[in-house]
Amino acid sequence: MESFSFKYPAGKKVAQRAHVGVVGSGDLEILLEPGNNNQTEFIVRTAADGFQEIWKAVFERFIALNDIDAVVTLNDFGATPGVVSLRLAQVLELANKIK
Amino acid sequence: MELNPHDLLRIQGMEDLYSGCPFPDWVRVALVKAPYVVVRRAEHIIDGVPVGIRGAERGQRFAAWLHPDKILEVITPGSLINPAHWKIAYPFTMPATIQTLTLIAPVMQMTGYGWGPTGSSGFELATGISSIKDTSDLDLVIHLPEKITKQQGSSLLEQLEKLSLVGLDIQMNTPAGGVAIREYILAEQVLVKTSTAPVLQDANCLWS
Repeated sequence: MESFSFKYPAGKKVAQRAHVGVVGSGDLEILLEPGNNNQTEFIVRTAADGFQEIWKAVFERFIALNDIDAVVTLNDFGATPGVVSLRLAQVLELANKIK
Repeated sequence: MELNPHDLLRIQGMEDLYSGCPFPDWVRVALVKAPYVVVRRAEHIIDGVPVGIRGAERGQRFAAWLHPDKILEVITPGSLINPAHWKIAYPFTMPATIQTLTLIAPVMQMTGYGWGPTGSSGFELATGISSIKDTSDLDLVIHLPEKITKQQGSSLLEQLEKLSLVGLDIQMNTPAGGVAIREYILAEQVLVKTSTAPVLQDANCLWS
């Protein structure tokens, strides 16, 4: 079990908090909360140790397109980078969905 | 021979496998200890069954291909419902996940669905190699060629959870691919593990 966080400068506002994913092998849960620090903060708690560089690469790709002012908490159970990217896209869509 | 994701295959050893990436050292260690691989959800190619190797650590998973002729034995999750097929005996204490498996088996059998243990519990029962940790959930696969409603899924999960001593991680094997039952019950859009890639899909379209 490993925990770490990454911060990136960001400015786009999101509409509301959102939650996606499940607790289960090969998957992850993501909670996205609107922030007010002009940054995206990713807080990761992962069952698989030693993959910080891969997480960083996934986040950097996400941030390049979506520099959102938000706190994104990820509770991971060994998801692949592909699953993490899909879940990030999904949580962002929900966070900006007009209710 | 039809192989499904989660089936365990007994092989000779690492020489039966090939991969585009170099094999990490732990793969050799893992296969010497337990010469078994698990069928991955990916397209089967001519002369290649997609398989995964699990190491002792959680993050240790490696994808490779296996020549079909090299399969010595196929152990399906469904076969592991029957304790007569277990390669391990628990004379003193049974791990909580295995106790849970025996507790929920009658309920699962009543449903008529094909099902069985996967993950560390399935691996331990099939190989006799100790793999279950104190923190392990019980992983199950349920084969669902026909639709179940969210209501049916939720009532089944509720019944199972009442009997469980550990967390349950249940994958539904639907025509669209693998879906977590917990997400199917709650979400409009679910993560589907298909044979090509994970995709997000409308929960109502898994059987159409």
